[in-house]
Amino acid sequence: MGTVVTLDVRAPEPPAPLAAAVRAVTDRLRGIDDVFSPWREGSWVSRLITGRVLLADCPAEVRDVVELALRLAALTDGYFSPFWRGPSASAGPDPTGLVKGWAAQQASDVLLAHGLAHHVVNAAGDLVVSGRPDPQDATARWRVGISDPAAPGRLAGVVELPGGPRRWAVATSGPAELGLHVADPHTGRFPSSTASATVVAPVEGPQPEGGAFADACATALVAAGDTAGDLMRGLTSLGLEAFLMASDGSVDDPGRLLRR
Amino acid sequence: MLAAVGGLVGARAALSPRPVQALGSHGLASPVHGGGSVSAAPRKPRRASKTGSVPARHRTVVGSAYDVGYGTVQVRVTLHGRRITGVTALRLPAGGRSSDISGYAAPRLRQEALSAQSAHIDTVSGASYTSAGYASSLQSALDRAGL
Repeated sequence: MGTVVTLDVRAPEPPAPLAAAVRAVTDRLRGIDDVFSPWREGSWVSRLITGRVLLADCPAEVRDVVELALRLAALTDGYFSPFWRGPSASAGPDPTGLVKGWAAQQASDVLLAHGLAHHVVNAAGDLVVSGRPDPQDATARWRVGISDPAAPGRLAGVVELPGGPRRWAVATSGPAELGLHVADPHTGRFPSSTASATVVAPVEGPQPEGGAFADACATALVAAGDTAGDLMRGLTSLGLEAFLMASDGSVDDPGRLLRR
Repeated sequence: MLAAVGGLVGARAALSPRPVQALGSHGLASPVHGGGSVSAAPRKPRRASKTGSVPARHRTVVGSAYDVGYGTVQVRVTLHGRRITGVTALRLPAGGRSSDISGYAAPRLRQEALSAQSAHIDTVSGASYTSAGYASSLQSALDRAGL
């Protein structure tokens, strides 16, 4: 089992720092995996979840990500929750649900630090785009295909995002690939009414943690089941945009993001 | 969920205007032997094929074999000029659940690679799937093809 991360760097010429940047990103992602993987017995997060270590004793990065997870739980009416495993005396918070989107943004940060402004980081479907798809074309827009939950391997449509200095995070959640795996933390049930939820979040501005926000909110929308539409409309106050594809094929897309 | 980040991160230096090929995901798995290294091969503009600087001809490129923990994955890509026309799995994990995963993921990834290309997509957002070996082998084949 492995999560897959793609780096797609756009440049008019092969950029000199590319190899060093890729090494740095790889090191960063491995470091994140060592600390945050719930499947590594000895990781900080594994020990945190099982109550073998207290949050206060974890590294600052773990405390920050858990704090982010708690904030997102509050912002999503608890449909995203670091306590989705249910009440347990020994269980600590589990931020895993947003780590993939957060890590994509961390990888993007590393590329930016190496002067690679134009890129896509795609962590198995949760992604961050930065700069322009074509560095020499100021009008070019990113075209992000959205997987069709009803037809694996096909695209339901395309979300276009403006190229430019602002980065964007896009995350999609749903049972299409892994089956029903997102539980409603309130009930422990696995809602099936939402086949796919996609969230688009700006990475800079009032909400700098767009990668984590998009990932957590996409998960929350699936967990919200029949009330996902209400939650989605509430998320717009955070500067997020989203759309839902229901299992009956209907699309709830108030911002008309999805072009078919 | 960052399940297991091991091996390499595939990277491509894309020249304008757009990459010819864009997968939702590829990358992290352990190469069984050789290949699969980071490629910074220059990517020529798509239009190049029309001006004749890249001859439009059929060719096949075999990707590296990747050990995905429960078996080995290796793919072969067929190209016409710079365009992907087919992806064939040469080796996939077999037996038990691995066969189910292989039978499901392989056609799904093949279709995703082809549909993303035809729709001029930069990248794909979708529910998580685990297909590191297939995608890594595909990417290494594309790297060898100079795409």
